[in-house]
Amino acid sequence: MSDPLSAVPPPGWSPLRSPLSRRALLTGALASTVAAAAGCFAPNAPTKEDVSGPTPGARVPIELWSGWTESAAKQIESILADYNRSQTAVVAKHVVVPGDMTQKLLAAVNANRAPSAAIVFGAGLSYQLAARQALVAVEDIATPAELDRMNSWMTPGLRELGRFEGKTYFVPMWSQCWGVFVNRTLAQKAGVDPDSPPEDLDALAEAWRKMTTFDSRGEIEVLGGSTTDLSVVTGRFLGRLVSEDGNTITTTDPGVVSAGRWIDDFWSSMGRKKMQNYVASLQGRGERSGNQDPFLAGIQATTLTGPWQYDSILRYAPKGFSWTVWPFPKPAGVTKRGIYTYGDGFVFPSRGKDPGAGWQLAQKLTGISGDVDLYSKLFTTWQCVNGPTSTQVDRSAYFRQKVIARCPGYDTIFLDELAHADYYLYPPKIPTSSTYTSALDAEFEKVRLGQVPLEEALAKVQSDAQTDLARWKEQHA
Amino acid sequence: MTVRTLDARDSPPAVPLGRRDPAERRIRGVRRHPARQVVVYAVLGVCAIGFLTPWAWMLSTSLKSPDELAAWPPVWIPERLRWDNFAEVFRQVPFLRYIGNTVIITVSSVIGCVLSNTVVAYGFACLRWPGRDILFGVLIATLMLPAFVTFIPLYTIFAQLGWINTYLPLIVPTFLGNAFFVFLLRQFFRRIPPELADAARIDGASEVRIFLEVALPLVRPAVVVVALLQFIASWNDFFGPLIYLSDSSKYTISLGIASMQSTYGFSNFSWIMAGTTMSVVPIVVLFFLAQKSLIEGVTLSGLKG
Repeated sequence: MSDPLSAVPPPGWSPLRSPLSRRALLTGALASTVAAAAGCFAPNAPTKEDVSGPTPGARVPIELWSGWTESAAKQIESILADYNRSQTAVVAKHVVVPGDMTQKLLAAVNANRAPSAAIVFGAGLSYQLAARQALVAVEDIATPAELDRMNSWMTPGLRELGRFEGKTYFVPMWSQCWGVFVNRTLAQKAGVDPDSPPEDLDALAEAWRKMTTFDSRGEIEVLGGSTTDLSVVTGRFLGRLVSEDGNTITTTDPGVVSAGRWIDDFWSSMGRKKMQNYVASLQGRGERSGNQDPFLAGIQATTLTGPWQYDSILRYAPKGFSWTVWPFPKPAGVTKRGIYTYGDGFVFPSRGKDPGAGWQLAQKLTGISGDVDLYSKLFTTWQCVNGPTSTQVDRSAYFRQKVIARCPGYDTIFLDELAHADYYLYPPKIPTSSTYTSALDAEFEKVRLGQVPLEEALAKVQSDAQTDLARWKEQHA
Repeated sequence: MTVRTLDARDSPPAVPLGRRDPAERRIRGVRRHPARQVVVYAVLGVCAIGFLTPWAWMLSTSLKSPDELAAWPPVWIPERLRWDNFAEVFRQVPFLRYIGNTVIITVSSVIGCVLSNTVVAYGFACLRWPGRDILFGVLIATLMLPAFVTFIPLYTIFAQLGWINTYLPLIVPTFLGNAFFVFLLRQFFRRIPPELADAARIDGASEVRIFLEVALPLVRPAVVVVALLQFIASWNDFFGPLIYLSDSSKYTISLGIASMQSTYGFSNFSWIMAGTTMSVVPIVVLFFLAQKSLIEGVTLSGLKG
């Protein structure tokens, strides 16, 4: 260990006898500055265009931000390349944002550097951004003809998904819908007929119990099926998470309570500890784990999920894997068909460069422009990745041959309910949407683990979320 | 004979004649009892295993095939070592370019950090000027501000300067000082006996020369700590590049690894761990090269890097 006192100079020492001269000092300082400047300024200096604006006559560069990576990014970029070839006024660039899209958007909006359009995952985010006036409504940038085209193209339920406080702030590219994928071999082994889908949720839960097997220690070896997604089930029970006017949190709505009870009863009947142990044994693998997906690995007999599962099956299913799809049934006694959906789609930041150009791009990538073949190509990025925003997409031969034909049950089960549901449950249309849903998920997990009763958890979430909402409105009044 | 006198504030406490340093007695006590030594080493060993386990898992995962990723019970040593995972990282993303970008940002940041913080800390420690202590208090108070409070105003400033989508917002602020590093270096500068500077002044040295030739060499361990901490911060920074960069050709290693994760498809964590392992190697090498100085600096400052 060095001790400053050990540096007491010997007799006769003088700092002026050091070999460092003024020239050497200045040379060293200059070299350091040049090194830093090389890193700072060389290829990355602000361009003349950044500083002084575009050259007259040149195409205005616009940006589309999205979280799409790898093959999806390439697909979007090839669509943009086609789009750019047809444009004289703008040239669009895709910017991959691999995380924290909200923070980047908010910073950019505040600094007048927002993109022309961004693709966000989930309409809930758009409600929050719109409440903070960070977005431009479609009604303010589209022509009446374009608005008519959008309204006639999109399924009414998905049109409503993008509306917040009377205006459209989110234009879905595609939207989520649900089905139950079934391992035929495991179903037959358990005495469940894979060709006779359960009629209601209770029958589904019973089928799950029958298909579950246990090892010699009594732990779950193959899980028949399960879900932890309260919102998906709440959609089936026609529950509401907020009131129509967005002022009242309704977590204790009978539909929400019934949905929670159905999931919790199933976990309880299977043994909470056994379910926890089973989940722990998966080590985090799930439906995006390639051939390690529990459904494809044969340790889960069914999976309640969206149509993106088709891609996993087609790419990673082992040889001889036999499967089918069931509709996700309604509760017994409920006649209306309800669905929870949240979409991935376009938003148009306020103070962005040319949101009108962003809207033109969005029309291309949502099918509103009428180019159904181009829109259909998005559904092979991952095979049958989600539900399209319009039933008219099946005008496209590409969609029929390359999408529907490759995914048995995609049109009759997934697309049918997305387009023709009687009731749509969306993410809560409030400025504190994310906080509310995160709190709900966290509390519901405690319910499933047996730590807190369902009614108590839902009441707590309702109370906290109401307080948050009131505080937000007061601060932003 | 008592050796140390000078300013009690700056010097370690004097030890009376004929008595051993209490710390030295404790060390000798441990050495006298092998059983105690065994216990100490056992505890240290357990702690070391705890710290090294995530590293071992990262390396192990980087060499696995997809089938082994989530095997139960967990696989520590893959059946076949998949060294091609490392090559695959370079095929999936332009990893070499990301490394180059990260090197440019990190080296520039370290130079800026060392240059600015040493000068400022010397000013606060060794020079007397009106308002010095008040300004130092203000500087320390800025440590209380969470980074998220200032990031939007900063982004606005950089946007107005035309620096968005360049490396400037990631490098230039390091040339403007950092409260924590200034505080750390100031503590080291204060331990230098003022008589050394006085002797140099008597010989006609300027303040710049005193700083460069007298003070700076004596705080070398602290400068190494500061440089290493800045290196780690810049090398691993995810949020800064994410917010300020829009051109994927300028992305850094952290953004590159993040973009290997798929939204709806399969994320190959072997490749992601391989990329992470490669990104960690320079930091580990640097640590071993600067180990002696780093430990000196950490010990003298009480800082847990």
